[in-house]
Amino acid sequence: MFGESARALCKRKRNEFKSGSVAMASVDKGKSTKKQKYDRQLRLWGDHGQDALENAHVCLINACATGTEILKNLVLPAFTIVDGHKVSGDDAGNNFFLTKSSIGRNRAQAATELLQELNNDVSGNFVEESPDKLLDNDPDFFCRFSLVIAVHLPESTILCLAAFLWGAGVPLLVCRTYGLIGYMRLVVKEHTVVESHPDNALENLRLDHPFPELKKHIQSYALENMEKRDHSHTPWIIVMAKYLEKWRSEHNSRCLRAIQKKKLFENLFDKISSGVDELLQDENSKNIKAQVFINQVEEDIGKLKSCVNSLLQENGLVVNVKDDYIHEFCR
Amino acid sequence: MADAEEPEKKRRRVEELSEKMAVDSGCRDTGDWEGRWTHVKKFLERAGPFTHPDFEPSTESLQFLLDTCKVLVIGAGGLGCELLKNLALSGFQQIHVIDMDTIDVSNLNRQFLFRPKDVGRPKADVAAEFVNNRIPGCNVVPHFKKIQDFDESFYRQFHIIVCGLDSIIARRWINGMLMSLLSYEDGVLDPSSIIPLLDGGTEGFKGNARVILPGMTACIDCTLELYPPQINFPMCTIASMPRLPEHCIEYVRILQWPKENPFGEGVVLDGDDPEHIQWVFQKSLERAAEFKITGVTYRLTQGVVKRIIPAVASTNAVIAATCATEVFKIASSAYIPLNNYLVFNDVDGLYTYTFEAERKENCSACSQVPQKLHFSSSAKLQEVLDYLTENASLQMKTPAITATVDGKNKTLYLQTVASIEERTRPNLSRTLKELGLAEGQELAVADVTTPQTVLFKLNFTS
Repeated sequence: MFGESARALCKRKRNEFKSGSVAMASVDKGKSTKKQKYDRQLRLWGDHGQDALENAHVCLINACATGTEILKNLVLPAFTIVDGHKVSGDDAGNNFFLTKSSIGRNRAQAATELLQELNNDVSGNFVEESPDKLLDNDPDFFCRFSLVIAVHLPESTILCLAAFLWGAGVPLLVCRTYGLIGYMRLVVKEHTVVESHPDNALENLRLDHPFPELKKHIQSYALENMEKRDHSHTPWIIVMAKYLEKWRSEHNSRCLRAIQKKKLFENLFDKISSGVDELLQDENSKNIKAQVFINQVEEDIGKLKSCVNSLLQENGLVVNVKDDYIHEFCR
Repeated sequence: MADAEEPEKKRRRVEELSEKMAVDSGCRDTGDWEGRWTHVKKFLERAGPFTHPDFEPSTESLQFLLDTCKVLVIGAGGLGCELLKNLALSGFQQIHVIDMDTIDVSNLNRQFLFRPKDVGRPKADVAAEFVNNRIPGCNVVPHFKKIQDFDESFYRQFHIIVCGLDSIIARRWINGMLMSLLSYEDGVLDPSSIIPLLDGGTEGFKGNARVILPGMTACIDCTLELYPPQINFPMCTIASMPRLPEHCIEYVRILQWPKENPFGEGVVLDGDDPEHIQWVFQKSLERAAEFKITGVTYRLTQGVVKRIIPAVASTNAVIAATCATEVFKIASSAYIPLNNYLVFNDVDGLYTYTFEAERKENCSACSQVPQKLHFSSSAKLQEVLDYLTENASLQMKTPAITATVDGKNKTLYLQTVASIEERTRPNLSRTLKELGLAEGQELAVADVTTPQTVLFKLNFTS
């Protein structure tokens, strides 16, 4: 189920790039109320993330306070609450989505009404049934969901539910709270992360092997002849690349172990960066030392191959497994 | 769990209850119902393996929460809505809430006490109405005001104060206010003058919560350096060598708008006015085209101009829950409070960590150690001003400096009132000696970051 959605997302992303500028213009032409309303979270996960949420359908089993809080925070996906219980006085006392007048009514229905009221864009449904009955009579009911959340279920029910959902490929979130203690456990067979928006991505710039156009561009800068002003406005990547060149010409890198190389490079880098304001101010440059990978490639293929074998054996895998992963050109 | 056990018994009890209510509803409505506080009572009326060693269970604790304990919630936004809900459900019924803002459409994705029909109304008012309605007996009193509109007599009435603020300046202000309420007898802090301050903050998927016992634990100013620095681009980059779409937008905001005054002389750029944003957006596109920069969008423009912080419901829920739990623990003395700082981050998986933030020995807000200024007598007043704003531990915004010279109170520099700023501006280029300041002189500095003036002692280095 997830593999499919990942492929669909990748397809959409490719299409978006093609018609990028056109799409941007129509998106920017006046914001619709929905974009305004979800602006703060759109800045976190973008339009695709938002779509994924809006098209999801979540199932909550048991509308106790823990469960309704989860639905409140999700806000966007359609939801279905499965709960066979009636609202008790206790329930109405600790749940924001139940009131005094809910007491005696079916808990799934009562909670759905007050949760639905939170957001007109969302469709909320309820099933007045215990999950045990559903698992007995109509387990396929659970296949339609993007995620099932099970709150305060007895172990026997969870085991049965989990076995079924695992087979169906539907993720399960198991939660329980007890006083000031709580736990949650996520059961997912396989999950694909696409279009992540990481805060501090450490990018491997592969400056030690610049591609031809980049190499040409780097060579077009003559740092020594620059005035301070121009120097401090030179993109830090160029400065880095220049000094990397210089460092390599000064050191025979073959003889040194990786850790020694790294230390030497860092020392040289500290020396030059103290004089370059731009480097100091650029946020990214703080990670400079980590970002420049001095890639080491073992050139002896025979050595590489034997290394793979021993690694596989170390980890208890059959050596033949590597045939599934090694490109035919490398065999 | 009780829910799953004995459903038959439960069903019968509920039926009985419904019948009882049908009979009683005509006579009186206390707002309460049987079982309402069952969960809360479990915390207060019985000890357990995790309770505070000094905790004594009592049936009176609940009454204290319901009738007597006064809590102030500062902010009725993302954190504030969650806090009000949590506190009301935990038994706190005497709550005040302060918020100076009105409801905006972009609030509706997470500030769940507000509806589209409420847009434009004060947050404090709508939040209070909703909670009082949903939680019978709860008495949330709203204040559509700034925190600076109140003085010590207002703040003194609360047992506990919880903040869900969106500015560091405001945090420092309330922090300073609570410091000013502390009373010392013979150098010993009087514990009854301490009002615990719970502070929560969130940004996207990250958040933090802290417990501050003024005079005892680390305060906001003690850990000022923990806050990430604001991203400010160098002026030369903005003015002549832009590379990013943000540079283009800042150019328009900082340089072009004051020059062109597109909506009239002296009309300030208002981030909430879509026409203003549209103008900045168009001009930013033009500038970007000049330098062949891509990526300027309406959304980015708005984000840069308003310094928008992304926000999502779940982070606010976690942090508010943490703060509300600490309020409950402190008010009930039933559990050991957080000591004293929690960080939370679920960008990648889920990470959380607590540690004890330490007090700073010479903290300008809470240490009572006189603050010193070391300058040469030939240093210009501008240097002192720069120190006050740039020093990492002080980070003042618009400090006003006064001193007693020749027996008279003299304003050396003040920038928040235009006429006084003009009059005192020449002092900035005068030396401390020329201004008549002596060794050991006290300078009183006022700033938005603190409700009280901070006294500095001047030490001449040469």
